[in-house]
Amino acid sequence: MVAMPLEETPAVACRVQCLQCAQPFDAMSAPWCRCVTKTISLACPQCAFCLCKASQAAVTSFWFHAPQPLIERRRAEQRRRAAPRMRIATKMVLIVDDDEEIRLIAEYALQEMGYATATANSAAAALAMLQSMRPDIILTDALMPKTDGRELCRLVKERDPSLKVVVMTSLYTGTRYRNEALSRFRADEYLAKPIDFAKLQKILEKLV
Amino acid sequence: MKLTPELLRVKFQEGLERRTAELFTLIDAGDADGIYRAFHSLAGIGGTFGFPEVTALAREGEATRDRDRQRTLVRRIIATAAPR
Repeated sequence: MVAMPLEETPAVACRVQCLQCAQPFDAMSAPWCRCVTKTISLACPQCAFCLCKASQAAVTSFWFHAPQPLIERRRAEQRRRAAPRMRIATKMVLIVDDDEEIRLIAEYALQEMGYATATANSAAAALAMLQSMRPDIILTDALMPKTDGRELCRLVKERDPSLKVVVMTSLYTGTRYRNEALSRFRADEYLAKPIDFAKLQKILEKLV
Repeated sequence: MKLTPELLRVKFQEGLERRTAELFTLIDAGDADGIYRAFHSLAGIGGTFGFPEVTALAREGEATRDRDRQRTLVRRIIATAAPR
């Protein structure tokens, strides 16, 4: 008798079918051949004899439990399936704005939405922070002293094109500026100030 | 620092006092660029903190060059966003 798994992955498969008596049985509670290969054969509890499919030999020596690594893999799989889905808690947004009040309220709102946050008060500070961290999204003001947010966007995209950047502005609200920010400075989204946080939330959910 | 709505309100009021005081100084000095930047900043902050009237008044401040009108607008901004 040779038993073969009904599913492709014997480590996770529970129900297998005996090739001799065709009865399904629980692989995890059945004895396993000591040759322990991926095509491992199992002893059907209804049959007195079984043959290891891998070693093509009569199985005379069993582990009466599934081998420990396979048990661990199965437990890990069960933990993964049982774990509650984290919404967006691990996503990080770097907020770049020279206005302290905007940084604070954006930080508060984004934390309420479930994001981790970091803040920078200038483009230069943001670029320095990016040496040691990698946020998922950068939310930057367009109009800032020295290096403005659109230039920051361009510099960031040169270094890491996959990093998402949202440029927000109360000055460049026209379509021309929006198109320029999206094409020339390669921003992923463009948000008008005052910040509409419901709109921002939709944008972030779309980007992450 | 734990961010709370109360802390945000305090920060907004502090920022508003600072910015409006700065605006009066800039208007007295006739610094057109500085006045524009200060009104512009207030326009962004006002609506974000739930004061769309502040944004509307600050936008008007961005557009006007009349110093008396600018002072009036700053006073109206203070009155609009004053804690009740």
